[in-house]
Amino acid sequence: MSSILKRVLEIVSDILIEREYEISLLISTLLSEGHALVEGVPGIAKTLTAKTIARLFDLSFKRIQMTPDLLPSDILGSYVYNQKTGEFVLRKGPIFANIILVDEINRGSPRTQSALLEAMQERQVTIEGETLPLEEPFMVIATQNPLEFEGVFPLPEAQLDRFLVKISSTYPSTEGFIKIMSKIDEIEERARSLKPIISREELLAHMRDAKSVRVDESIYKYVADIVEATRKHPSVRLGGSPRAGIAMIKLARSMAYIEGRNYVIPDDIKRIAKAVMSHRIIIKSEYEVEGVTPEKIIDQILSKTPIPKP
Amino acid sequence: MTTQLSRSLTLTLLLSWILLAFQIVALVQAENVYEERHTIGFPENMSITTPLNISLKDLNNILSSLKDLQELTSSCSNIECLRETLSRNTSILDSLRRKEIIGSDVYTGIEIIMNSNTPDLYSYVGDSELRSLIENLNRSDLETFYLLFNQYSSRIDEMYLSGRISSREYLAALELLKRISLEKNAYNISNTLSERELELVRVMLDKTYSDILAKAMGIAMRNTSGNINIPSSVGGVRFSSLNSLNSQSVHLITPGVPISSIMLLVLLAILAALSISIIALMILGFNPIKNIISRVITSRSLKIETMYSLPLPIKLYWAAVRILSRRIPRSDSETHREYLMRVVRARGEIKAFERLTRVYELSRYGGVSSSALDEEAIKSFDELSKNERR
Repeated sequence: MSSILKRVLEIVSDILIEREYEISLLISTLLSEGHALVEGVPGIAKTLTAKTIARLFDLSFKRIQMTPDLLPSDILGSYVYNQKTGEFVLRKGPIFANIILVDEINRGSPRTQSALLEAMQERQVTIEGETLPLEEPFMVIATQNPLEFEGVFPLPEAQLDRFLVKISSTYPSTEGFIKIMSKIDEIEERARSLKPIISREELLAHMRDAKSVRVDESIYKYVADIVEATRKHPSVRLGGSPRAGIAMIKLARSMAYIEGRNYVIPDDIKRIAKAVMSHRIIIKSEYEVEGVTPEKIIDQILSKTPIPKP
Repeated sequence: MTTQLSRSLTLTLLLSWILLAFQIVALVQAENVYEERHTIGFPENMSITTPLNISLKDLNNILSSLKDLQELTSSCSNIECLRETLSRNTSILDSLRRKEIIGSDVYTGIEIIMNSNTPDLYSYVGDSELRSLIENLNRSDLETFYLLFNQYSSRIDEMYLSGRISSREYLAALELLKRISLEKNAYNISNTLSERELELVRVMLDKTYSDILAKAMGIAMRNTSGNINIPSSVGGVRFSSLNSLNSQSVHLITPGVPISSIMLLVLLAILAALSISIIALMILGFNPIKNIISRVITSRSLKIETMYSLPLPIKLYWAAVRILSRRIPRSDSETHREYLMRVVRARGEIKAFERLTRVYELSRYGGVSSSALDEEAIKSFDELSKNERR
C-alpha cells in the first residue's frame, strides 16, 4: 500500500498553495477513472493544478479552450487528405491524451459538449466510422465559471452526472495569497522542473489496487441512506441517482487508498459527499430563491443520517 | 434521530405550556361566568338578573357608583361644592353615564347642575306655568323679585310635591332661579336655592339607590308620582331598611378557588420555569434535552443480544462510548473519528480511547480480527475505565 497522497502533497504544497483537498479529490478521481468538473473564477490556478498532476504521474496533458464555434472534430480529430500518399490519414484531436483540461466547458456549443461528454463516458471515439480507444488513464478536468450567464450553454443535468466530482475552487486565504505573490518565481520554476514521481504503469497498477479496498456492507447502506435522503428532501426537485451512489463508493475507496487504508470508513463518505452530490442535486426554484443550496442540503442530510452501528 | 427527538420533546413541552395556558384562561372565564350568575346563599338555578335584566356584577357596579356619589354629595354643603367635586371625579360621572338607563333621574340631575348653559336649562322646564313663573321673576326688578320670590317659591314646591313637575324639572327650575337671583345680586336667596338643590340631589340619589336595590331584589315599587314622596314600605319591606343597605351587603363572594386550579397554576409555573431554563441553556449553547436523549439512546440502542455476537474490540469500544457519553453525549450521525476528536477537544488527550477507536475501526470497517487486536482493546478499555472511575 503506497501513501500516494502524502508524497504528492509534499511535492505540490510549495507549488499549489492551499489546494490540498482539491489535489486529494483530483487524484482520487483519477484513481477512480472518473472526470472532474472544477467550478471557479478565473485566475485560481486551475490549469496549473491539472498540469502538475499530469507531470507528477508522467501523463500526457492537453488543454482545450471551449468556444461557441468549436466543432466536435476539433476535439476528436478528423481524416485529412495526404497529397503525397494520396490517402486520408487520421489527425487525432486533443482528446487523445491522458489528462485533458477543458477550459470553460460551458462556452462550447451543446453539440461539441455532447461529443466530448460521450467520449468521456465511452472512453472511445468514433471518427468516420472508425472506433478508436482513448488513452489510459483518461481523465477530463473541465472548468466553468459560475458567474457567467451570457454566451454560455449550461451543461444539462444528464451530462453533469457524467462528472464523478464537482470541485468548487475558491480564492486562497490572505496568508496564502501573500505567500503566492512573494514566491511566484520560485513556484513557477518548481512547476517547470517537476519530475514524475510514479510512472504511468505504476499509476495503472494503483488504479487496479484501489478497486480492492474493502467496503463494509454497512457503508453501502449508509451511502444508500444518504442518496435516498436527497431524493426525499422537500427542497429537492432532483436528487441523487444510483450513479451518484456508485460514484460515492468509487471515490471513497480511492480516498481511503491514497490515505494508506485498505478499507472505507464513514468519514470518507462524509468528506466526499458534497463533491460527488452537489452537481447532481437540483433545488426547487422556490427554495433556491430563499438561498437553499445543494451544499446546505447535503450538510443537513449528513447531520441527520445515522452512521452504521455498532 | 437525537435532534428529531430533541425537537419533538421541545415542541411537546411548548404545546403543553400553551394548552395549559388555554386551560387556565378557560377556567378563569368559567369562574367569571359563575361569579356573574351566582352568589352565596342563592340556589344555583335562581337567576337574580331577571327584574332589572342586568347581571349581579353590573348591579354591584351601579350601586358602588351611586354610593360614591352619595359620599361626595354628603361632603358638600352647597351645590357649587358638589359641582366642583364632580368635575374632579369624572370617573364617577362616566360610570353613571354608562349606566344611564338605570340612573336616568340622577344622571339628568347631574347634567343639570353641571350645565352652565341657561337656554338648555330652560329646555328641561316643560310646564308652561312653571316657565311663566320663572320668566316673571327674571323680568322683575330686585324689589319685585324679593316680593314675588316667596310666593312663587311656595307655588313651585307645591307643583313638585303634587307630582305635576318631575324632579329634574324642579331641579332645573331651582338652578334657573338661583342664576336669576345671582344676576339680581340677591345672594341670600341664591344661597338658599343652592342648599335646596343639594338637598334635592341627595334625595334623588337616595331614591334611585333604593329603587334600584328594590327592583333588583324583585320588589315591585309603586310610586305614581315618581317624586320623593315614596311609600315607607313596599311589599312588606321597609324602604328605610333598603336604603340603609349598601352595595357591600350584596357584594359578591367569590367562590373558593378549586384545588384543580391551584394545581394547574403550580404545574404552569413549573413548566414555565422549566421552559425558561431550557431556552436559557439553549442560548448558552447547551441543549439539555438533546443530551439526555443522546445518553438514553447510547445506552439503549445497542441490544445485548447484538453485542454478544460482535468482535471484542467493537463491544469494548461501545462500552467505552457508553461511559464517555455520560459527560460527552454522542450523536447518531457522528462518526467514530468525529466523536474521538470531540472527546479530545473536551477532555484533552485520552490515549486509551484513541487506541480503542483505532482498534474498533480496524475491526469494524477493516474486517481485521486478531488476538493482538483483542488484547489491545482490552488493555485500552481497562485503562479508560480505571481513569473514568477516578
